[in-house]
Amino acid sequence: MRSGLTLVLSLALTGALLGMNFALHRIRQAAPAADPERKLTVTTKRLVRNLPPPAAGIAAATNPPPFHWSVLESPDYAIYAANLRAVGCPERTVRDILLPDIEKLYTERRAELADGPEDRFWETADQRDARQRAREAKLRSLELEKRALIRQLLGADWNFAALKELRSDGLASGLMEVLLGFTDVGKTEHLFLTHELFQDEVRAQQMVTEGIVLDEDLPKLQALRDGFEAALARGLAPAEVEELRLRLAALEGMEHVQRRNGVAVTGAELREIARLRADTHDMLAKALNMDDELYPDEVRTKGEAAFNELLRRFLGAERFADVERAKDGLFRELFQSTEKQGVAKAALVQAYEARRAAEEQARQIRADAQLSSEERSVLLAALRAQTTQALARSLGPVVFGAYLKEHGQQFTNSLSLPVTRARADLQRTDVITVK
Amino acid sequence: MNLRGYILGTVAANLALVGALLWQGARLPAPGARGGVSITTNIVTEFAAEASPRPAVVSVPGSPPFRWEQLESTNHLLFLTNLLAIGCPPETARDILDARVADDFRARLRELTRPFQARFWDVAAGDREFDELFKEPELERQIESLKAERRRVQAVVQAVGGRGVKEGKPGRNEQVAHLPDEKQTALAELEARQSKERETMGRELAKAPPAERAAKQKELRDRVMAERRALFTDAEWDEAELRRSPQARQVRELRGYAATAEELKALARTLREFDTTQPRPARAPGDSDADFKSRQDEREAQRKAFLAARLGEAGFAAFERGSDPRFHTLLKLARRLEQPAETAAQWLEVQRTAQEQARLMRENAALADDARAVALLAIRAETERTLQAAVGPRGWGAYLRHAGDWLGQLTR
Repeated sequence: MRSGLTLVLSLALTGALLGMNFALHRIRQAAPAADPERKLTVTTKRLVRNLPPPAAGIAAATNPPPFHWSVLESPDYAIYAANLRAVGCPERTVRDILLPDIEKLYTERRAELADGPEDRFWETADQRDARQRAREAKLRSLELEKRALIRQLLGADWNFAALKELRSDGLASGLMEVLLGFTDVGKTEHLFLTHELFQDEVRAQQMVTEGIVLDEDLPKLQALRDGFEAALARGLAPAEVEELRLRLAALEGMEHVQRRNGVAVTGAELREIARLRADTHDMLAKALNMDDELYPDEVRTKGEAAFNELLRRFLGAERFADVERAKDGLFRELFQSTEKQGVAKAALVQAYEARRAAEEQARQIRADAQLSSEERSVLLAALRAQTTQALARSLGPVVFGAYLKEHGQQFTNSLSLPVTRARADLQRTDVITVK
Repeated sequence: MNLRGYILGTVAANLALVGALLWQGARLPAPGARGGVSITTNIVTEFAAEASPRPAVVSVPGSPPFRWEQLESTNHLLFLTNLLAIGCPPETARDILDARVADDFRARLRELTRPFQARFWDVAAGDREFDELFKEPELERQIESLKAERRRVQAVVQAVGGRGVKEGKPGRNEQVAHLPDEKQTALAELEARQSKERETMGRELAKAPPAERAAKQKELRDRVMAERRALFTDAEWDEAELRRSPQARQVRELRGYAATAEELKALARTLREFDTTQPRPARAPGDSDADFKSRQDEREAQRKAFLAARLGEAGFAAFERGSDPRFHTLLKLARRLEQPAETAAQWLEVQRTAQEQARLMRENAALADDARAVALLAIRAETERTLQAAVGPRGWGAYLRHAGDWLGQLTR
């Protein structure tokens, strides 16, 4: 009797174990394989907005139908968003689903506004501009429509293109990381998107005005600039807005203030200099590329003069002179390539001043209308030879030779260039590279 | 077999089943397992014939009802697989994953660079360019490793969902827009093929002697030109040549010049005719500056006479004005003030007159410096008064901002 019971129990256990094995087998088949190379074939329907949910008859009444994405999708974005939220989809993911979809929709609508196949080659600039302005106005209207839709669905002014740029792996996003890296990632997004939004507004305004600012436009521009500041303040703490202002100042117009360019400053001093610049220039207007329009020339000139005076007082006369020299690309090049060879700063400054004096002489020779072309050429060549010798004396022949090897002969050759090329060359070398 | 035999048999079977259970359990993939995924997608595009009525907010099927957390995983590929498994379209899955991978990357990058951000001002004052702030070997290695991981995941995501939104299509080549569509297509294909040929030849001839390289390149150039020419009729070729000419560029840059397409084309031909018959003087060896300038002035006078004869005095004036960059800004200002183009022409005329008067005053050797300065000031004052009245108070500030620099130069 006991043996019978044991057999029954053992058979029951066998059944249970068989069932568990079968269930586990199914789970293993359903789950992705853990092999290094997993293979999965997905058959799916693309962009099926109106597809009904899988037929109810497929599953038994007691076994509810498996969940399918099509249950969430709807041709109506508001319903699509509500459905996603109803199943607990995180808000960021709702955004990442809807934004590209909306962008695609509006990309197609923008494409419809492209020029047709008509031959429009024989048009004047006016005719082309008028057509372009009409098209830009339609694009702007589409953009505003898209923005309103996004605001309605997501509750904020998200911008897909700006997010994409921020998320890209390129130089621009790298620079943003350096510039805005003092905040957390969420605040960086807020900052960047706010900037893009207001910059768009400024561009739209410039398109309407064709870049011609009437006095009556100034309050609108001022309101845009103030709106930008207020929007930044909504997402950032006051200290963060201040840090942003200072970093923008460091990036714009004072990139040369570095020890590598012969200006001995500490990090704390550089930050203080950035504050002086930010107090004398409207960094937020500059960030929106509207300071030229918002402020007359004389106001900007006064701002620059005030900054220079404050900087001179802060650094003292000697270091202020270093800053002035470092504005010149030729000096920076000379300093960076000779400093590591142990050239005394005094010798370097002497060589640079000799070069500057020669440049002034060359300018006078080129401007002298009494000279014939040949006479001018002879004088410029002589000036070049004389300057080359003076530089070699100041720096020493070895260092000067090494400099020429590294940077070519432009430092002296440009002295003897003819009038037109010298002008172009000067423009090129005087540009301060914005990094 | 007796009962005991049956019992032993079932116990043995049970032991075997327990073994199988353990074996299967051990083979189950870990939730965070990372491995390569080879996903084959079979995408069927299907659109419903008619829109279904608007559903109410979703009634979530499943028991218990489906929740998003069931899909979520910190392993991006597992998350992707889960999305696809419930029928999420690959494009949407790609959008979600692209964003998630990039945000994850940025958050981890931010953590890595936080110590360097604390030293931002010290580094910026030192020896590095702004974009080289993170140039520390160890940090660069870590960033590169993060980037490599991101690229790996992105490659899988893109294999499933494609590369994403791309805007725009290749622009039309306006210079051949006069050709029928099929010829434009044939030309575009020809240019693409020739471009590839040039690349191939460049690679093949990289180490060839210069003479051989030059000969082969010339041969290719000649063949390219012959093939291109063969696509055009004579009339089409003539039109294409005109469109490529500097005279066509000049005509297309005109502003405030009302003309039809045919008139503009005729104008370009007229300009080309003059430039062909009267080429710009070249500077001969031994030419003095004065000689050279005199020949340039002579040609300019001929050009004006030629164009005035062809276009009429009014037409020539409109052409000269339309080519003048000063007029471009004035036209925009006039448009903003809702004034006709003629108004801008009047403002320009005031400017030209004042600048000419100032030039004559500067060149007048009979005047003392003081007298000249006073005269120039008087010209400036009178000109400003005239212009201010002409432009009006609404536009005067804008005039000074955008087109008024020359007023300050009058007295220099």
